[in-house]
Formats: sequence, C-alpha cells, structure tokens
Amino acid sequence: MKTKVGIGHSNQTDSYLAGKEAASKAKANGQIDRADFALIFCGGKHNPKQFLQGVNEILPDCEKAGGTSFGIITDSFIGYDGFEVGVTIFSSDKIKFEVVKQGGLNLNEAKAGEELGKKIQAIAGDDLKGLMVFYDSSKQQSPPMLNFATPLFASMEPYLPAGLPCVGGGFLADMMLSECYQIVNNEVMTQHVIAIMISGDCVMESTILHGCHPCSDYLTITKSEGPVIFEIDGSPAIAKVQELLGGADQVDVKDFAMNVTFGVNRGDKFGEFKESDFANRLALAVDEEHQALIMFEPDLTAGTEVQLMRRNLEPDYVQGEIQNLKRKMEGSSPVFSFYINCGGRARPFSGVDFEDAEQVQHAVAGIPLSGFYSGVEVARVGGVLQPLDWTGVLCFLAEK
Amino acid sequence: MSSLEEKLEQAQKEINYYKNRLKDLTTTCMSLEYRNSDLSKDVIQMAEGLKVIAELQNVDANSELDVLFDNLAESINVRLKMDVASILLPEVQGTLNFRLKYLKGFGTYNTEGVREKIIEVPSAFFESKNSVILNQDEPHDEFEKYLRDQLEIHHLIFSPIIHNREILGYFFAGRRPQLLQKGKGVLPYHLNILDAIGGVISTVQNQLERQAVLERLVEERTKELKEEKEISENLLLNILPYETTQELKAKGTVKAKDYNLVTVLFTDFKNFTQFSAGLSSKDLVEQIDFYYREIDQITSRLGIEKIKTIGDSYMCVAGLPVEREDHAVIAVRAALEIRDFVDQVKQERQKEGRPYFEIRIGLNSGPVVAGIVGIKKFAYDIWGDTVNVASRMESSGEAGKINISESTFQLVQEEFSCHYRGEIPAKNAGNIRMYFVEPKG
Repeated sequence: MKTKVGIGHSNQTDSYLAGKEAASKAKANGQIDRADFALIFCGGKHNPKQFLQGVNEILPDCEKAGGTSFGIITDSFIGYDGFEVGVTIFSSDKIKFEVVKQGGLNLNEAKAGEELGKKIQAIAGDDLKGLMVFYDSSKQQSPPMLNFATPLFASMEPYLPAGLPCVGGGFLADMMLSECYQIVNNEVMTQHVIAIMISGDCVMESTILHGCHPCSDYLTITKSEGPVIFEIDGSPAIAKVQELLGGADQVDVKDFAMNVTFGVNRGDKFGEFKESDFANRLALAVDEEHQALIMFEPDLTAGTEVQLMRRNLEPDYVQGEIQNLKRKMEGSSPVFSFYINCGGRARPFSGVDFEDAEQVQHAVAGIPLSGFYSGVEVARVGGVLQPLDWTGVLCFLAEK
Repeated sequence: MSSLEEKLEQAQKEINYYKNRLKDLTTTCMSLEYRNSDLSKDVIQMAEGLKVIAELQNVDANSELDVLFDNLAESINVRLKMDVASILLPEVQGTLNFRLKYLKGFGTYNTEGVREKIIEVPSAFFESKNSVILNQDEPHDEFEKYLRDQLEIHHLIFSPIIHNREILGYFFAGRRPQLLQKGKGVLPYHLNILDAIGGVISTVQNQLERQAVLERLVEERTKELKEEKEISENLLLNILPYETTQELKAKGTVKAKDYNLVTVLFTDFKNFTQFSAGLSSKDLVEQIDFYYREIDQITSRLGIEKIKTIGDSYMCVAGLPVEREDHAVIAVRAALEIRDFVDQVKQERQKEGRPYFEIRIGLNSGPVVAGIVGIKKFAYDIWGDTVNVASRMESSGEAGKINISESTFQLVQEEFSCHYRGEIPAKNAGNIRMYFVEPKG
C-alpha cells in the first residue's frame, strides 16, 4: 500500500470541536482507513487537553505527537491568530514513526538533550532515516526566558547517527511566551523535548529558507555572556548596530528587537553567497541600559564573526530552493512535506510584503504539506545541527 | 614610494571608497527597510481591524443583537490579537453601571471572574464621551486605576460606542505587552479601529431600528390586507357558493355542472303590488330587506343555496353545489320555517294594525344545470325545467301554504304530512299533481 497522508485544520474557538474537526478533515482528505501516526498542533489560545480529546474522538488508538504552536500551515491554510489547529495523519506500511520524550528542559537544556540522545540511540534501528525534534521554547519563569536550543541540540547530536537528517522547532504559544504544551499520545506536558524517529523504506531531506542576504562587513563579537551581546568590534553592541543603520535618528533602538538579524556564515567566508550556509540569529530584546542586544540563542560567543542580514524577502527565492530540494529527492516518491517557519516571519510580525508560507504552498504543490510556526527552527547547516532564527525549515519525506 | 606601493595605495583607496559607498547604500536601505517593516505591521493590523468592520457589514439583517455582539467581541479579540475583548452594555437602561456581557478572554485571563463584575462609570467620564488607553504609564485618575484593577489587565483600551450622539455601551480590549515585539500593548490606532467599529454598530443599530419600524408597518398592513381579503371573500361568498369561489380562484373560470336531483324553492309575497303602492320606495326596500334577512338566516342555517331574488320573489335550492340526499326534506323544512316566520309577523302586525305580507311557497325536485355566466358581475344561477316547474308551484299555491310537486312529494312523504290537491293546470306546463305540505302531527 502506498503511504497515505491526510491533513486537516480548523480555527474554531472551541478546543474540543477544533480538534475533532481537524482530525475528521485529515481522515477524509487522506482517505485514511487505518491511522498509524498523527502530528497534532494547536494554537496558543486553545486548551490542549480539550483539543486532544477532540482529536481522540476521531483517532482513539493512533499514536500522536505534537503540541502548542504559534500558528498552523497546511496545503490550503495559514493562520496565526491563536485558534488554529492542524492534524496530519499517516497510514503507511513502509514508514514507521516512534516517539521518545524527555522532560526537565527548563532545568538544564544540555542534560535534557543528552538524555534524549541516549534514548534515541538505545532504540534506533539501522533503518532510522530521519528525526523531527520539537521542544518547549518558553522557560516559564519571571521574567520569561527561552529554553536554549543550542545546548539542547549540541548535547543530543553525539548520540545520533552521523549526518542523520534532522529538523526541529521550538514550540511557542504566543509572543508573550505564555505556557505552551507538548503532546505525546494521551499525555499533555510542559518543559519537554520530544523526538519523532522516522524509519523504514524512506528518505528524508530538508532545506532552510530565510531569503536573507548579508549587508555588512564581517563583524566580530567581542564581548558576550550567554545570549547577551555587549560588544561588537570593540564597541557597545547597540551603538555599533545603530551606526550600521545610519544613526539613532534613523531607526528606534526599540525596533532592534525581533528585527536585527545576524548571519553566521558556515561556508566559505569569501565564497559565492549560498543561503543554506547562513545560520540566522535574531535579537529578542534590547538592553538599553547596558547597550546590549539579547539574542534568542547563546551561541554568539566572543570571537564569532557575523554579518548584519537584510531580510526584505523577494518571493521568488522560495521556488528555487524547493526545486533544488525536489531534485535531491529524485528517484523516490515524496509523500509528505513539512514546514517549520519562524513565528516572526508571519506577515503581521515580519512587516514583509508577502507571506512566505504561501510561496511554500505553491512550490510544493502536489505533495501534502503541513507545518507550524515556531520560536526557533533547527536544521543541519554545514553538516551540524544548528538552531536558527528567522528561518523556515522545509523537509520532504519520500518512499523509496 | 615605489610604483607598486603607489598602485597598492591607490587600489586600497578605491576599495575603501567603494566599501564606504556600499556601506552608505546599505545603511540607507536598511533604515528604510526597518521603517517600512514597522509601517507594514501597523498597516496589517489596521487591515485586520477593517476585516472586523467588513464582517460586521455582512451581518444578517435578521440576526439577533446578542449574537452580533458576541461574534463581534470574539472578532476583536482574534483579529486585533488581544488577550481579552468585550462589549459592555448598561445593566439597566439609563444607568451608569455597565456589565461585561460579551466577554471573550482566552488563555490565562480571568474571564469568568471578570464577567461577573459591574463597571461603574463616573458621570463626568460618561458625559465627556472620552476613551481610556492604558499602557506602561501610570493611571491619570481614580477611574483609570479602577478600570485596571477591575478589568485585571495592565494594557487596555476602554472606549464608548456612540449611537445617535448617545453612549450605547463601551468597548474594552486588553492585551499583555508583546514580549517579542516592540508593541506597547494597546496602540492609538486600536482606538481608531474601535471608533470605526462603533460607527458601524450605530449604523447596524439604526438599520435594526428601521427594520423594526418596517416590520411593524408590514405587520399592520398585512393585518389590514387580511381583513380586506376576508371582507372580499365574504362578499364573494354572498354571490357565489363556497365551492364555486374556490374553483373560480384556482382556475379563473367555473364550468357549468349537471345535478341529477335537487329541490328548488320559490317564494312570492301575495299582493305585493298593492302593498307597495302604499309605501315609499325606501320603506318598501326596508320591508323586503326585513323579510329576506330572516329567510337568508333560515336557508343559511339549513345549508340551502340562495340563488337570487327578483323583486318580491326569493329563489333557493337544496342539494347543490354539494350534493346531499335529504335535499327535498331540508327544502320543505326551510319552506315551513319561512312560512311560520311570515305568519308570525303577520299576527304581530295585525295586532298593531300595521301592514304585513303573506307568502306563497312552491317546491319542485328534479335535475338542473348550475354555473356562472358572463364575465362581469358574476351570478351563480340554475337552469332547467325543474326551475320552471318550481316557479309554477309557487304561483299555483296559496298564501300561507307550501305547495310541492309530485317529485318532491315522493321524496318527503315519509317525513311530512302531505295533502293531495289534485292535478292543477299550470301556465305553460299543463296539469300538474300538487300537494300542500305540513309538519306531521
């Protein structure tokens, strides 16, 4: 039997009914008689337990994984008002899904990553072909803080088969870092990282989409502490960025938050521009008192070379990247595409003139698409698992 | 300096020149991009506000105001990306206590707790028709502080819904500061959006009020039309049998119909010409009307179809348009009642010395054809020899007597006492066997 994938969504405000509707639509759309596995995501304004009850009404016995998301993407729908839910059902003889989870993320990201890596290693078979990793982005403390993906993935990677295709995303309920949830089968949890192991007669490939280009010289981080960058090229970080942007009268410092994006080039320093070589790093907030930028991730340590990235996207960049990905999949039959897009890239938050997820919908046309809006995205850049900001990660799953 | 060094210096100068040019261009481009991005976000947010207004304009004119406000509060919450949104209406019309009736709060907001609260608006604030926007700043007065406490959210907007220059209610929307965005919570353009939504609500309210007036007018007019229709139908029923009116309404025409056996009844006032000579036309009509009204009552009650009156002659028939087997018996019963009524009036008037009528009544049973002829002033009529013979029975009778033919006699002899009068010559009909009929016993 050819693998069947069914995708459904809903944006009802009643969580139970939304779950039920999305699951029903997914089942109908995919003409699925036997559901083997389901990816389930619900918006940050939903009650995840009621949502799960609704899904279970339609898929009582099927294994499930997912959680809270900032928004939903499917073949025909994009939404980020907080009430969107999405359900993707798989029915396959060739592709197998297995879920492992690890808690305590807020206590120690590195430890959680290591533990999860060990669990994956313990049960991974020779036919493990890919990995999806989702985690709780919000630490739930006052003031709110993010769980860092850098130590999480760095400590997980040694336990994974070398070069194993892997994509991931950090769950985010909303832009206020409200509590978000992870779901594995009938459990609703927080502060967990979950890994979906994909095995069988299949292949998984991914690409990153951000459309950003470097627009400055290489800049060197000269002083940082965790996610806080104090100095760039020996100058206070804010002053340096202000200088690059034409001075204080041009751009309000408060606008740096969620706008200032640095790119780390993992490829040839002076080589031809290659989008997939750049890992983006986004400023989460500004600390005006200390003239510092607070980043999403803590990996821009002293000595790291970055470039200021411009991100006035042009819609056509998506098509080219996706065509390249399709070429990589030649010889196999893609059955599913999955898009993890940064919540900040959603049009109302990015200020960009077009919705990049719409371009993805058009470009993957014919391959069932689902996905969610995330806090942080994860993909391999330069062969290394790399948390990314202001990026879309698209992956294809194909039968051989 | 060697030539090579000079060239290198020149090259470095060129590199620096282009590097600075590039930097200037990048700076300009980036600052524009940042400002553009910021404006775009505002434009998108405002566009979402317009969507709320557009949704309002699509409201079904028949929808309940309750449903409208409930959906609107949800729409404001979702579209404007608020944590909570509500429409407050006066608890009692004309008071300054407002209830958060339509409250849409999601996530961690204390929706149920806040829903129970009554917001007391100071009269000065109410009269001013002002709005409140609260963000990071400290409250300016006690009411702002009260709002923040009661509504349990730091960043909020509280603005009046103005309808016909009066405050219909208030909007309340609040959200936590967007931690991952520059936004300060509630922005001034949110007030503009809510004002615009308030304007549409006022328009909708006007429409609903106009619609209510229209509905009342339509209801009144419908009632009038219904009454007029009833009058028309009753008038029609005075002219035509009910079954015939139905056929006429359904098909526009009525086919003549054969009836095998009916009983036709004629009456005539004796000495009408002499009687009428002593009365004015008006008095004469009044007198005839007096008698015919009672005869109408009798025939209607017994289910006999009145055909027409011609001067002092009254013609009716039993057994059509709905056929019935007892037509002759019913017709004789009617004849006796008519005769008794006329006799009773006669006796009363004799005592009073007033003029009175005496009546002759004749009946005959047999086949007739019934229908409507012509296209104006419809009249239902019957034709056939039976009718002519019935008329002869009347003219061959005696005042105060019911004269029936042989065919009627055969149908009623068991029910009534019949006295054979013999074969009596009738005009244009030869000799006819006739009977006087009276109640038995």
